[in-house]
Amino acid sequence: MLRVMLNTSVEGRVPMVPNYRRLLIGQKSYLGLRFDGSLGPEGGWVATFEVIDIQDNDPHFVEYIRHIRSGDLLALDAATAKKVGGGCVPQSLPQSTPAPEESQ
Amino acid sequence: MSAVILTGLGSNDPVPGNYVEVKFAEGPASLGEGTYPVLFIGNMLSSGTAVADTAVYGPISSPALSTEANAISLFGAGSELHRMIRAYLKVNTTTPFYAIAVTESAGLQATKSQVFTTTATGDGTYRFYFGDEFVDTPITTGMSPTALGSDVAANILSQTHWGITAVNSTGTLAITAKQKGLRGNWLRIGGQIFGNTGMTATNQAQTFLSGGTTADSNTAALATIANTRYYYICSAAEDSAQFGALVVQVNSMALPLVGIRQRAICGSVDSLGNATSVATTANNARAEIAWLEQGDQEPCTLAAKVVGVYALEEAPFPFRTNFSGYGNDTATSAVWTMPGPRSGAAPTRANIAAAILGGLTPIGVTRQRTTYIVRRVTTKTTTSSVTDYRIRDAHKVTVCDRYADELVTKLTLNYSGKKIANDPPQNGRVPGADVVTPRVMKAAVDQLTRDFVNVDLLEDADKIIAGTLVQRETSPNTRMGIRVPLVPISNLEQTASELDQVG
Repeated sequence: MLRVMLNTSVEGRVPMVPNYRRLLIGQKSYLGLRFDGSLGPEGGWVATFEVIDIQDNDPHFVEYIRHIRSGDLLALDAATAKKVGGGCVPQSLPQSTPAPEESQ
Repeated sequence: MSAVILTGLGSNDPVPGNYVEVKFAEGPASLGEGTYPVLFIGNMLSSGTAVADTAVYGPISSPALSTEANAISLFGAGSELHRMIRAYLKVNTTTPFYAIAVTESAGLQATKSQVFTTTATGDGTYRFYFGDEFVDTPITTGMSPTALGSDVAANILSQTHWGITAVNSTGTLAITAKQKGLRGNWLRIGGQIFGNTGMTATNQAQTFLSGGTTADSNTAALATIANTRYYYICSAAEDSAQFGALVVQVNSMALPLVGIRQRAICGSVDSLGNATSVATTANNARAEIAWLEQGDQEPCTLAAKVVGVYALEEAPFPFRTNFSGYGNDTATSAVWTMPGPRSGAAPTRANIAAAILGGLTPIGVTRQRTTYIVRRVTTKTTTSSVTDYRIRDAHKVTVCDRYADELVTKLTLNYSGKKIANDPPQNGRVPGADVVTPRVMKAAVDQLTRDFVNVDLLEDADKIIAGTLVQRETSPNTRMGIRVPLVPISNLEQTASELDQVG
């Protein structure tokens, strides 16, 4: 399992990591982001700062590892960091850990 | 019928004779006569002679800009604009181009150290990479790190079009971006030692320079180019703020009262997440972002190459509409010669699908480490908070723009100075040649539609013509209203074959 969070640490940049399973069936969905239709004429995406667990059997496990490597996602524990070959583990972790499907 | 009037031959001329006047360019305007030049927006170096922010340079400016040598003189060797124009000219030497320099950032230049250690115990070669280019430096037995550093620095400096400088100090090279600012952090270097030399070198993998600070601002340059049409505007800036500002301006200029229809294009070698974020912010049919994650190219040169290909292939009439797989066949790979990431990274199918759905034009990487355009798309993915892919295919923007341009040309050349009237009733008097009625104008519009259908840029001619509305407005009654439901041709993107082995 990968335990991750969207990397919002770089000012001015909020990466949009696809929830591949949903996106590829036509539902726009991004990890750690919630759509807010009230933000401007086209709406906007707001970071939820949630912890996301990605199961080893997720069909897009490889893609999520690449997103951690590229800095879009932060590895939240040592096991995740080890799986991706290193990676940043923040000092203070959010407390809540929603179920994967809810978190996405 | 109106009288035939020859220039200088008055109705009261008394001299007998057979007077003839030959008038050229009097027929209906032909198609595809427009020009669609490219404008580059980026930084220059102080070694260039150009004036930043307020001057646009091009084929007829003074000084002129039409060659790489001109770009070096105007913007400085190794400047961002020089590198963009150089990349562009490698794929397109026919489409006219212009450039405007944006005042460079006041921040710091990005840097990186390149360290050599251990005196060589054998002969070999050190290959230094900048982006997707490299330069080789011989290593000879007994060569010290200082000596190698000195030679490598000299070789780097000899590549005057590169965007970096190098200074050697006892085997440690200080690599510094020529341009100040954040975009210097997209420059990549790397290196490799060939042979059993016993020496070591850092940065074997491609590594970004770092430490470039403070964004520049394209605000002044955008004010300069407002109200002038270039069509493809290629931005070195790929961040949401500056590219977003360009997109907003392009969009507002395309509105009918100004009528300057253009496209904004930038490149990205950022992560899929960050690139998608920029595309989502742009969300515009006139904006495109070419994306190659971990590409060794800078975003600005990636964009310049892509724009070069688009401008090249869209110059003829009819033009190319399908860029899917461009660079992956014999014909187009001769034009599109960009190598894939040295790291070996390549987007997965899911990455590519997500990129297209997110408004990015992905650049694919083959097993041979060549690249190709996977599918050209616009950044427009959402309308009023709802997912909307109706104008995802970028060629549909081109088709509609060309139709609009041809319509304007036709209306201007054929109907300027005419009078307007309603359609005559049956058996009523037909107005003279100087009078335009809705029926006359609809015939011209329908002919244009057929012309576009005949060259396979539109489809469903009958549907378009049936839905075309031309009417004289009641207020003001001097205006002819025209509405054409265009159906641009679609590209073949997929085949799906089921092969059933039955015996």
